[in-house]
Amino acid sequence: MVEPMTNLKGRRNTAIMLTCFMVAAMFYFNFIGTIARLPLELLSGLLLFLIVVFLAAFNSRKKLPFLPLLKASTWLQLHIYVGLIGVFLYCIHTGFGWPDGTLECLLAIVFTVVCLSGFFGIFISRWLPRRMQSSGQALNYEEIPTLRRKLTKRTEKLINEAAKEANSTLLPDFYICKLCPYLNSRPGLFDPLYLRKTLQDWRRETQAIERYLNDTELPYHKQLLDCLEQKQHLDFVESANRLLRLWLFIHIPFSCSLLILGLVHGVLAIAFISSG
Amino acid sequence: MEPFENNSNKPHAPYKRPQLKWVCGHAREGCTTCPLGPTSKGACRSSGLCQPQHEGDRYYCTRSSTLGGKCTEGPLPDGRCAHIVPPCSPQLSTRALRGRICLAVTIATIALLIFLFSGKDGIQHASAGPLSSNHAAIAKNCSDCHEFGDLNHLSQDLLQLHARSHASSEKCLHCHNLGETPHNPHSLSTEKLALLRTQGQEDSTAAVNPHIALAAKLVGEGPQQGEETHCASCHTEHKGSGHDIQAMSNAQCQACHTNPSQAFTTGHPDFHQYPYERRTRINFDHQSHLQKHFNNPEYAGLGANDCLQCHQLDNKGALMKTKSYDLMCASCHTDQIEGKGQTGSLGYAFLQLPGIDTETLDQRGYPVGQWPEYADGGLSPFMQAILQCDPIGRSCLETLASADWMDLRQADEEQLEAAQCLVWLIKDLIFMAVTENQQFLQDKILAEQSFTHSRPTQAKLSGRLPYDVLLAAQQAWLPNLFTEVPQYRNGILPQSTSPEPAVETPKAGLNLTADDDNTDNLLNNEDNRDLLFDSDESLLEDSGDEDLPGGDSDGLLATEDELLSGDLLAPNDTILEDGLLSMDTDTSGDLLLSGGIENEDLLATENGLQKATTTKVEMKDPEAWSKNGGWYRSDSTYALYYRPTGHADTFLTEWLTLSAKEAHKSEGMQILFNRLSENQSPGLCSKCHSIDNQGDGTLAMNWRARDTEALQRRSTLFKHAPHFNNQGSAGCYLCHQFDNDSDYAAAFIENNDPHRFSSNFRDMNKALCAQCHNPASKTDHCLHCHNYHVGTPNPKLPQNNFRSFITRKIKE
Repeated sequence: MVEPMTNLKGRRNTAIMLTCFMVAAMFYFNFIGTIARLPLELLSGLLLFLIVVFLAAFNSRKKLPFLPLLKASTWLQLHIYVGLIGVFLYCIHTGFGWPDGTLECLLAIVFTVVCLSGFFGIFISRWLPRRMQSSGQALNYEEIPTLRRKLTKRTEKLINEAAKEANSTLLPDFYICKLCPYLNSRPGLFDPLYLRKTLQDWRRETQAIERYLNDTELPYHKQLLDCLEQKQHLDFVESANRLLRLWLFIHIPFSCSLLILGLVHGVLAIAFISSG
Repeated sequence: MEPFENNSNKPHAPYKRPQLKWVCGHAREGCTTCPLGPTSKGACRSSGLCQPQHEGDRYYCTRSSTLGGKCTEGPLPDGRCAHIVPPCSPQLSTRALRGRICLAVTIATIALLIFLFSGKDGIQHASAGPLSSNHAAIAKNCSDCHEFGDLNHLSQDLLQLHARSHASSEKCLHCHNLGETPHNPHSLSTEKLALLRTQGQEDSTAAVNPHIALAAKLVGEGPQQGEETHCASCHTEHKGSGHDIQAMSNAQCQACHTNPSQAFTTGHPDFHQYPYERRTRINFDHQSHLQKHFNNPEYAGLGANDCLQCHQLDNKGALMKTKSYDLMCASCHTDQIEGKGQTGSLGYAFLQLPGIDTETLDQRGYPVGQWPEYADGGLSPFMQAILQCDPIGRSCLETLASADWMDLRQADEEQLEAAQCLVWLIKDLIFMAVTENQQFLQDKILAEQSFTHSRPTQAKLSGRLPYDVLLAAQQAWLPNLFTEVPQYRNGILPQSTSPEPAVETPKAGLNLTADDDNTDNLLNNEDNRDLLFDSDESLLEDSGDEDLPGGDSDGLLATEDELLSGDLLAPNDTILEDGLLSMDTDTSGDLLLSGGIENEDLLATENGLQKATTTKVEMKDPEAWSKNGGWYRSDSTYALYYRPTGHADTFLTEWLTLSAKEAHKSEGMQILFNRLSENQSPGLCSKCHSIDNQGDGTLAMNWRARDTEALQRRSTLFKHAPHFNNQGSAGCYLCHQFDNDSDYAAAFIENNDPHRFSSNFRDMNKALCAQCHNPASKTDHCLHCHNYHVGTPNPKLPQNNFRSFITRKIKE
C-alpha cells in the first residue's frame, strides 16, 4: 500500500531533523568532551565501529527475510540516516584531517569509498526509478535480453517486408550498416547518466534517408522509428537497472573490508593508546 | 511507442528466483531457456521444454502454458520432448557474483594486512603516522615510547587505560625532566596546587562559560586532588615531522581552568600584582635614582637617562636583563664599597684575642699562661662562630654570658673556670691554626655541616690567609704558645699568668731613632732573638732560645753575614721558614708590611746593629695601607683583619652565602651573618643585595638581579622584543608607570619576606594588554601569554634510550 505523499514527506523531514540534531549533539559532545578531557578518540572510534557493524547488518537482514526484524524499508531508512551520522562521526574521529599511518590511510580510503558509493547509491536509487517511471513502460530486468531479441527480429522482419514490397535495398542497406549493430548492442553502464546517442540523433539520421524513400517504404520507415524508440527505452531501463545493482558491487565488498580493517585498527588503538 | 509484450503480467509467468546461484546461459542472449535451469553447482541440464507424461501406451506433452502450452508435435516415440533446448554455459546470478566479489575483497584485505604486518618492520605500518622530527631521531621502536598492554586481555586493558597512560608518561620522563611532581598539573607541587586552587576560588569573579560549566558538571571540575595528568593528554604524536607537538588549544587549557571563557578580553580574570610578584633582588630605588640622584649636578653624566642603559633583552628576547655592576653602579658606588667616608673599621676581625681579666684568674688559681695584657676587645663574629661550633666553647660562652670578661673579680668559680677554659681554647685554636693548615679555622666553623665544599669555595672561604700573617700574629701576641699549649695538653699549667709580651700598640707612624725605646725592644726582647747576631753577646742576654719553636739556637741564629747580606726586613720568606721572626714581631705589623723602609737606617754595619741616624718614617696605618683589601694585623686590638677587596669580594660573598644558609641552625652562624649583613658593615653588601627568607628557615643573599634565563618557564610568558618593535624603548613607560605613593625602600628594612613589598611601579591591568590582544588580532589564545610547564627543570640526558640510540647510530 502506497503511503500518502504528505506522510512520506513528514517522515523524511522528521528523520532529517533527527539526524541533524544527532549530528549537532555529537559535535557539541565532542566540544564538551574536549574540555572535560574525555578519551574522545576512543569513544568516537568505538561508536563508529558499532555504527559500521549496524550498517553492515542491513545486508545480512536482506538475506534473512523470514526474521521479524522490522521491514526492509525501515532498515534502509535507518541505514541511510545512521550512515550519515557515521560520516560526521568519522570526521570528528579523524579531526577533519587525512591520517598519516599506513593502516589508517588504508582504512580512510576504504571508508571514503564506502561512503561515496553509499551516497552514489542513494542518489541513483532516488533518481533513476523516477526517470524510468517517466520514460515509459516498466520492464523486468531479467526479461530485457528476450525483449531485445524480439525487437531485433521484429525489425528484421519489417525490413524484409519493406524490401519485398518496394523492391528497394535502401532500407536493408541502412539496417545492415547502421541499425543492426545498434539493435544487437548492449547499453553502456553509465548510459542513464550520459547517453552516447540520444533518440533525437537516431531520428535525425533516419529522417535523412526519408527523402530517398518511395511511398511504399514510408510506412515502414515510421515503424522503424518506433522500433528505435523501443530500443532506446530498453537500453535505458537495462543500463539503469544494471547501475542500480552494480553500485552495490563496490559498496558491499568494501564494507566487508572496512569491517576487517576497523577491527584491526581498534585492536591496535587499544594496544597503543596512551592518552587518558 | 508500441508497448512491449510483458510476460510478467501473464497469469502463469515463470517465477524468477533471484536467490538461485546460477542462471541459464540462454537467458543472457534472450533465447528460450530450459525450464529446469542449471544445477546448484552451475552445470547445464540441457533438456526439453517438458517432461512428457506416459499414460498407457502413449506419451503426452506437458509443456506449461507459460512456454506456449502443449505442442502440436507431441513427444517423440521414445518419450523424449520434441523441443530440446540446446546446451548453454550457465551464468552466475548477480547476487552470487556480488557474494564472490565480497569474498575476494575480504580475502584480499586479510592478505594485505598479513603482508603489511609480516615483515621485520611490519609493526611500523600500525603507526598512526610519522613522528615529530625531535622524537623521530631517537625513537625507533614502538616500545621506546609505548607501554603495551596485553593484547590477550583487551577488555581489561580498556579498563586499565589510566595505568597504561601513566606508564607511557614515565617513558617520556626518561628524557624530559619535569621536576619532582611531573604528573601534577603544570608539574607544580601538591602544596602549590592546593594554594592556587584556594586562590582561584577566591578570585573566581570572571563570568563562567556555560559550556565549560556543563563539562564540569559532567565530569567534575578538572583534575581533582591527587589526580594525575599525562603527557599524551595534550601532546599528540604521529602527526608528521612538521607537526607542532607543543600546540594546545584553548579548550585543552579550559579542561581545568573553567572560569575563563574563550575570549581574553571578557573571560580572563584581571591581573593580580602583575608583573611585580616580589621585591627586586637588588635594592635599587628607580624612583629616587631617576628623579633625585640622576638630576643631582654632582652626578651629572653618571646617571642613566634611558631604560636601555641599564637593561637589555635576554637571549630569547623575552625578559629584560639587568646589566652588570661595572656598567651601571660602579661609577657612583665603588668608593662607598671601599669604605670612603665610612667610620669604624674597614675590615672584619677574623681572629681576635678577647680582653680577659687574667690578673683575677691568676689570683684565684686559674692561670692561663701568657696573654696580652692590653687586650681589651671582644670576640670577633668569626671567633664566636668557631667557639660556638665547639661544645666546650659553647658551654664556656654560655657560662660567661653574664660576666664582665675584663673584670672577673665578681665572677663565681664556674665562670672563672669557664674563662680559663676559654683562654686555653683560643690558644689551642691558634696553635692548631699555625701548625695545621690554611683552612683549619674555617673547618672548625664548618665542622657541623654534613656537606663538603668544593676546592674553589674552600679557597674563597679561607680568604687565602697567608701563613706569614698568622705566624707573625702568634709570635707577637703569644710567643710562648708553642711551649704552653703542649704543656697544657699534658696537664701542666703555668705557675702564673704572664702579661708578656709587651707589644707595641700600633701607631700611625713609627719614629725610629737611636734613642728610641723601640731599638731596645728590638734587641732586648727575649722572643726576638732572631734579630740578634751570635757575635754580639750583649744582644743575647736573657737568652731563651729553647722557648722558640726551632729549639736549636744554632738553627735560629744566623751568622751576621747571612743576616747582613740581605735585607733584614724584607726576606721574610727565608727567615720565617725557620720559624723565626723578622723585625715586624718587635714593632708592629706596620714594619712587616712596610717594605719600603730604608733599611740602612735600621740596620747595623757588619760589626753589629748600629743606631742609625735620626730619620722619621711615616708609617701607614695597616688598615689604610691595605687599600686594595686583604689581610692585616692590628696589635692594638689583637686581631687579624680582612678588608674587602671591593665589589663582589669572594671572601665576603662566600661567608655571607654560607652563614645565611646556616644561620637558622647555628647560633655562631647567626652571629656571623648578623655582623656581615649589617647595613653599614664593611663592603656594604646588604645595602643593595637583599636577603630572602626561603621559606624553610634558610636565608639567601640575592647576589644578582633576576636571572632571566632561569625564569623562562614561568606560567606567564611575556616577550619584550615584539613589544619594542611596536613601541620602541620609549614605550617602557607605557607599561611601567611610576607609583609615586609607593615606599620602595621600606620593603628592605628588617624584612626578609620578598613578597612583602612595594614596587616602584604600578601594577599592570588587563585592559592595557587587551587593547592589542583581542579576538580581532587573533593573539588572545592561552598559550600566547602562558606556559603550561612551569618551573626550571634541568634538561636530562636520556639514559638507556640515548645509549641504544648511540649504539644504533654506530652500527649504521
